[in-house]
Amino acid sequence: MVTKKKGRTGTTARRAATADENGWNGATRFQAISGVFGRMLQLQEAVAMEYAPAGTEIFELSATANREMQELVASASKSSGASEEQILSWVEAFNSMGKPGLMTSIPLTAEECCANLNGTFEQISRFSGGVETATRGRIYGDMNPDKLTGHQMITMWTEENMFKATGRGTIFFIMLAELKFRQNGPYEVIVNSEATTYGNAPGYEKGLKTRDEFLLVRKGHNETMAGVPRRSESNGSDTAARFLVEVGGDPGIIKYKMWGVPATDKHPATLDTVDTYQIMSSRRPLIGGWETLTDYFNRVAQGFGARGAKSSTALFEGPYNRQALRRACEHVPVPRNSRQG
Amino acid sequence: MKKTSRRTFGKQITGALAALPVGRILSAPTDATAQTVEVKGQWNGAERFQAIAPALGTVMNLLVEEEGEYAPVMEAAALSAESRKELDAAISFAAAKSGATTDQIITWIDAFTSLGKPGLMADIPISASECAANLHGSWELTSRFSGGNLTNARSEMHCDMDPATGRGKQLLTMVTEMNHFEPTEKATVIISLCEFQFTQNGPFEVIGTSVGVIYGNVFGYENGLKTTDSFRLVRRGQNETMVGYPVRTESNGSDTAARTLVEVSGDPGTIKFKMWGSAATGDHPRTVDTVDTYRNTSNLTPLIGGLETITDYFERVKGNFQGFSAKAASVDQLRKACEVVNIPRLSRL
Repeated sequence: MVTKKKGRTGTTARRAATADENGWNGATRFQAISGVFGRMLQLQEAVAMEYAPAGTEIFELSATANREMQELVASASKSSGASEEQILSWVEAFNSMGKPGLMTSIPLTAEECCANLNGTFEQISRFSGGVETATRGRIYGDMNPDKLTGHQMITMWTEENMFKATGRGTIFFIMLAELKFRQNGPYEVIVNSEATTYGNAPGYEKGLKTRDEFLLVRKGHNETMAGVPRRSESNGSDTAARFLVEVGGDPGIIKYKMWGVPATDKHPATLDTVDTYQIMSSRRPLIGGWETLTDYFNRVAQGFGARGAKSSTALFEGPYNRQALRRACEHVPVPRNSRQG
Repeated sequence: MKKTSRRTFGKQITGALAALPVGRILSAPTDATAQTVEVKGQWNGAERFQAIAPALGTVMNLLVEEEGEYAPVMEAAALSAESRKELDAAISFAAAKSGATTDQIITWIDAFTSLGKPGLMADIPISASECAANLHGSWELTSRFSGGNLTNARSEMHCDMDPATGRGKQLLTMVTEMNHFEPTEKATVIISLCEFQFTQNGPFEVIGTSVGVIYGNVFGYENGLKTTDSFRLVRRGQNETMVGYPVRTESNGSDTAARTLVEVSGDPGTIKFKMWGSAATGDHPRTVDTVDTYRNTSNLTPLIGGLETITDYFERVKGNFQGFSAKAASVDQLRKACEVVNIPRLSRL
């Protein structure tokens, strides 16, 4: 197991720092952090340079850097009249979202965040290094807003996954996650996910267990992630060599933006990747119209991990090569006066 | 009358790319040191972030000078010679250290301040024709948040676009309980008609310009306010998004312009506008952060009420705007118009 030190602004550590929103607006928040923001980012720069961002240890700045960071926060707090928690919160929000991150926080509830994931979402595009990539994918969310829990299954079949595509083969993944939401003051929701991912990429053949925690805030109509999620492990796989910088989406949309990471002596650089999903149905998902997420996942997972399975591709008997994927990604125009609404 | 936005740093930073083709800049920093470094061809987000990090402190310190402005419609201001020198040196240093060009550093800083880390994602090709087409149709306001609170507001945008020429017209109507300032007993009514032009500026950028007239029952808008805006669109995902600030010409002295547009974007079927409030000055109260989100309701060429072109409708309203605004919805009527009417699942939806 790979364990790397990493610096993530803690979610639980920052307890609803935005509680007192009165008296501030975007311009005044910007004024409050502008004197220290650049230096704080410089101190945290190493964080963005990690290769596979999967570690269990909490990254710690050096004592000197940490002291400087604290002094910067204290100085900004004193000159602006904001609390130190507010300064930290605003720096993180600016870092994640730019100027729109400094908009006034809007209340959000764990229940709504949970409900917003219910249904079936289809991938409408993937861009790798700025170029559209042949990819099909779905997200299925079977959620219980009353209990703030739910299951999420993601499937993906893609020509390119962070690395430049080679050969005739394609890449596929299937993941099942258990999600838990919890309220953290009126303006924050913390989400925990425990997942298992199977795929035909190194490290995923027998299933990779991951644990993530991330923070949701609301600066507009819908919730969006602030900061960076904490992930537990990556099985030593390079496929995790990306840096999730945005999870958000307007109504009906979920999108993920992932930075590539720089090359190291042992690894090549990876590609910036953007995935966008559009809701197809808000009803409880059934795969193929009749099979629950867990049943489907367990059935497919047997093809990957069970003893006696021929290979990681045992599930798929057809020619799942690039040509087949590209055909599946072709655009078929449908006339306006048709069955479409 | 004062002209030209004073979002100078926005212009100085954002203009660097747009500047050459559209002639809107501004001195892009140059430094001999930067030119001697071999320019790196391929970048990803983390590497771009690493490249701009050394310059961010200086840039942010200088940016704050510009953010203290109230209504963003004033004379062009330039950074002091000293500040300019400091800025140029910081950008050149970052370029030399990273192997990027100074233009790249400027662009990436601009994108980072506009969009945060997602702004440093790889550019995706964008076309003026698609940007024009993406506006076509009718859009309804689904929510307005003012200072973090849901505001009673109804609004529509109607766009009649011609993707072949990159041109089109946009009609916007709005009645709202709160428009940047604390609410009054009277609802604010606004109607505007703009002509858009989208121009390709290389494979990764589109310049949008709009020339319009806005009528409203607020100071400065009663007899129509002419505006000219210019903005840049880039693409860091499925859809285009604005970077930097739009450049607006004038406000007729009205402080209703006391906000800074920090985001114009939207995923498929959505357009949203995020506006910072401004800090208070000796003469003006502070304004509140405002977010407007619109949803696409039809992709057909818009007809108001199903039978009137947007130009005809605008001309008719504008012809007697005082009479029209006098009969505009009261706050109570507006609240009723904003009520949610629940519709059963097994319905026409």
